[in-house]
Amino acid sequence: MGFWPWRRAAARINEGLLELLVCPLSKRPLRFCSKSGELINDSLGVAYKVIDGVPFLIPTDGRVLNESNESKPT
Amino acid sequence: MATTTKTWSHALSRSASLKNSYLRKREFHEATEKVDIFDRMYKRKQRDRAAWLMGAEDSLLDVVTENLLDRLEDCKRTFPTALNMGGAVMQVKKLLKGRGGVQKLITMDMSHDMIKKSMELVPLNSTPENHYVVGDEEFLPFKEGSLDLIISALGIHWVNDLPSALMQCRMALKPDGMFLAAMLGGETLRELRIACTVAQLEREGGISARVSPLVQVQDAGNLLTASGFALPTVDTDKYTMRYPSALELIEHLRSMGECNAISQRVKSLRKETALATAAAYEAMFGDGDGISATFQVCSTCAVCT
Repeated sequence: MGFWPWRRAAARINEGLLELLVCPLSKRPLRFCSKSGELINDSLGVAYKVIDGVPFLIPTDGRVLNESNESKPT
Repeated sequence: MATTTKTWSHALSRSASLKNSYLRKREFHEATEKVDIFDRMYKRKQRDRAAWLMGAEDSLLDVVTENLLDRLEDCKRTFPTALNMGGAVMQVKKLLKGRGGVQKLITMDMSHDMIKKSMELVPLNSTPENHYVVGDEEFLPFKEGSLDLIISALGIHWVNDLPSALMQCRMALKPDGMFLAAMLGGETLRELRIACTVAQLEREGGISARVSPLVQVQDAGNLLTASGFALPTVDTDKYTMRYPSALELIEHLRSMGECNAISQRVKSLRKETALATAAAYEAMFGDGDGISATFQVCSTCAVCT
C-alpha cells in the first residue's frame, strides 16, 4: 500500500486460485489477509505479497512477521 | 633455553588444535551446505530482461512448444486444471488452443515482468479461466493433489535440485495426472562451447564455463522414474538454427532468457575474447553466408500414479 492509498482496494485474490495455493516452504495452506493484502502462513509467520491479484510465492520475497503483529487471524 | 622450547611447543600445539578445529568446522560446513550450480536470482533478472527483449514470435520456442503440446491430442482424457510452469510461458499460453480440455490455466514464472507480459497476451482460443502466480520451480506453491497437468516448456533445466523439483511436481499432481516437460539436452550449443574454449585458450590462456551444464538424455528418464512417475517417455529432437553470425545467436539466447547463469561464472567477458569467439565460430562452423547452432531438446512425458 504505502504511497497509493487506493491500491488497498485493489488488493484481492481469486478464490479459485487461492484454494490451490500453499506456502512454498512448508506446503501448508495460506490465509489471505484483506487488510494488508498479503497471503499469510500462520505457522511459520511469513507473509507473501499480492500485487494486482498475482501472488509472489518465492521464499526470498516473503516477509517475516513480527511477534505481536497487526495481522492476527480474525 | 628450556623456557623457549616450552613456549614453542605450546604455540605449536595451539596452532595444531586451531587447525583441527578449523578443519572440523569446514567439514561440518561442507556437509550441511548445499552447492547451488545455478544462480536463481540472476536467472530471474535474465528472465525480466527476456520479457523486455522478446519479439512477437520466436521460431525455436514456437516449434518446441508446438511439438510438446501435440502430445495432449494423443490423450483421450481431459485435464481441467493445468499449470504452465517456467520457460516459454507465452508460447504455451498462445499455442494451447483449447487442447487437452484445459478449463483453468495457471501460469507461473519467476519473473514478474514475464507474468505481466503474458497477462497482456490474449490468444484466440483462450482458456476460460486464467490465473497467474510468481513462483519458483524449486519451491512449488501448489497443494498436494490439486493439478491435472503440468507443462514446463524449456524451463526445468535451470533448476538446481532436479529430483526435488520433480518430486514436488509429482506431489502437486492428482493421481493419473500428467507431467509434460521439454528441456535442453547436453548436445545443445556444442559449437558455441567449442568456439568459447578455443578463443579463451588463445586469448586468456585458460578456460571457464561459459555454457551451462545440461541434462543428458538417459538421465532424464531415470530421474522421472526415481521421482515416482510411471510410464516415462523421453525423446529427443535436434533443431538446427541458422544465424548470420555468432552475435545474432547471443542476441537470440538473451531474448529467450537462456544466457549463462552458473553461480561460479566469470562475471566479465573481454571484448577481444568475445570477438575471437565469434571469429572462431565462423571459421569452424560457418559456411560462407552464416553459422548454424544445434539445439537438442529432450521432451519428457510421464504419468503420476
